[in-house]
This record gives sequence, structure tokens and C-alpha cells, in this order.
Amino acid sequence: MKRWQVILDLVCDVAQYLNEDISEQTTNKKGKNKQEVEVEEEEQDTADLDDVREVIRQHELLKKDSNNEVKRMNDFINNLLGSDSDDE
Amino acid sequence: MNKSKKKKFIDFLMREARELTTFNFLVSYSLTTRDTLLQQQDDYRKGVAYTAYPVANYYKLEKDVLNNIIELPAMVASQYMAFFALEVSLTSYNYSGFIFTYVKGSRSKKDGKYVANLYLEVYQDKEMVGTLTIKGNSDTAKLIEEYMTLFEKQLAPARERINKIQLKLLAKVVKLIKKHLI
Repeated sequence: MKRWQVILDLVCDVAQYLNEDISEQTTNKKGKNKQEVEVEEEEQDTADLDDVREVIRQHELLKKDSNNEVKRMNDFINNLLGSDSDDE
Repeated sequence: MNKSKKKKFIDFLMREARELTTFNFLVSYSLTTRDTLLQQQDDYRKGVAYTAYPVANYYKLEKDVLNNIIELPAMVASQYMAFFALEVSLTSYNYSGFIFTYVKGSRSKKDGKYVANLYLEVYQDKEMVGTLTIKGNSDTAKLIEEYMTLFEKQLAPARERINKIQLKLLAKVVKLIKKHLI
């Protein structure tokens, strides 16, 4: 066997080895990345839902305060109108 | 989140944001401060509309938002005071309250002191529902004075704080809407 043939065989083996290794690693990485992205998205969605829940809770409290204010004003107005005959 | 879920979520956020664009105010003004107050209200209204632009766009309300100009009652008098609970949404507004001025009174039988009477106009849901003339030293006049103090010292400042919180909540929901709309 010629020396150049030995070197060529070696180069082919190395090329094959390197090629397999790189493609496997890439697939693994892609799979891992996809999983990571999905988990991140899920976490983000959960955080958003928690935010919305908190907004709704606070909004309900604000609505209660606003309704009380309007009721207070209306009660006062009705008192005024009721006292009309007493004062005139 | 899949497409259908995402659409439902955005619909829900839009409804919530639209509700949050309705603000309540407790406003008091006189002949000299009315214009400034109306300007302030208009600025606030525009600020809310700007923050909630995706909501107006989603419900195609831009035109109605532009036409929502706030007007508040005035009196033909040299001096008056007005106290109103004002509710402003993206496309409409409503108010209830009263406005009064001092009119010719009489001398007190007790000490002979002159006391002016109060002439009041009462509004509910933007409509004038009654007018009253009250003696300046009556129990009703004292009640009005007490309510005015409560209104200016406690209720109105508390309302301002509440509105700040509401504006933050609105901004939060709009941020989520923008994020999920992409």
C-alpha cells in the first residue's frame, strides 16, 4: 500500500467521524433548544396569567370604591332634593 | 398558547382594558377655575386614549374617542361653586352633582345679621333634576358645607390616588395586549 493511500483512508475516517459527531450534536442541541423555548414560553404565559389575575383583583376593588362614591353623591343629592320642601 | 387560545386571551384582555378606560373623577370648580379644570380633564382623557390606543383601534372607536369632549354645567352668576362626580369612558361621559350661588337673603331674627340664601341646581346623569333656594343659616346649608369640606379634603384626593392606580393597571393590560398581538 502506498503512503498516500494510507493518509487518504485516514483522512476519510476522520472526516466521517467528525461529520457524524457534529450532526448528532446539532440535533441534540436543536431538541434541547426547542424544549427550553417551550418551557420558557409556558413560564411566560403563566406569569402573564398571574399578572392578569392580579389586575382583575385590583380592578374589582377600584370598581367597588367608584360605586360607593357615586352612591354617596346620589344619596347626598336625594337628601338635598328631599329637604327642598323643609327649607323653602 | 395555541392560536384559538391566544385569540380568546386577547379578546379577554381587550374587554378588561376597555373597562379600565372608564375613569371616575370628583371635580369641584368655580367661575374662575372651570376652564382650567376642563382643560385638565381633556388632557387626562387624551392621555388615557393614547395609552389605550390598541383598544380603541381593536373596537374601531377612534372617531368616537375624538368626539368625546367633556362639558360641565355653569351658572349665569358673578360667582358660583360646583361639585360633580364625573365618569369618563373612551367614548362618553356622565356626571351627577350640584352647582350653587349666593342670592339675596334676609336678616336673622336672632341677631339681626344679614345671611345670604343659596340657590342650587341639582344634576343627575347630565340632566338638571331640580332647583332649590336654601336659607344660609339652615341645616341644609350646614350639610352642604360639611359635604363640600369632605369632598375637597378627603374624597377628591383619594379619588386621584385611585385613578393613578387604575392608570397603571390599564398600562399593564395594554402592555400584555401589545405583547400577545405580535
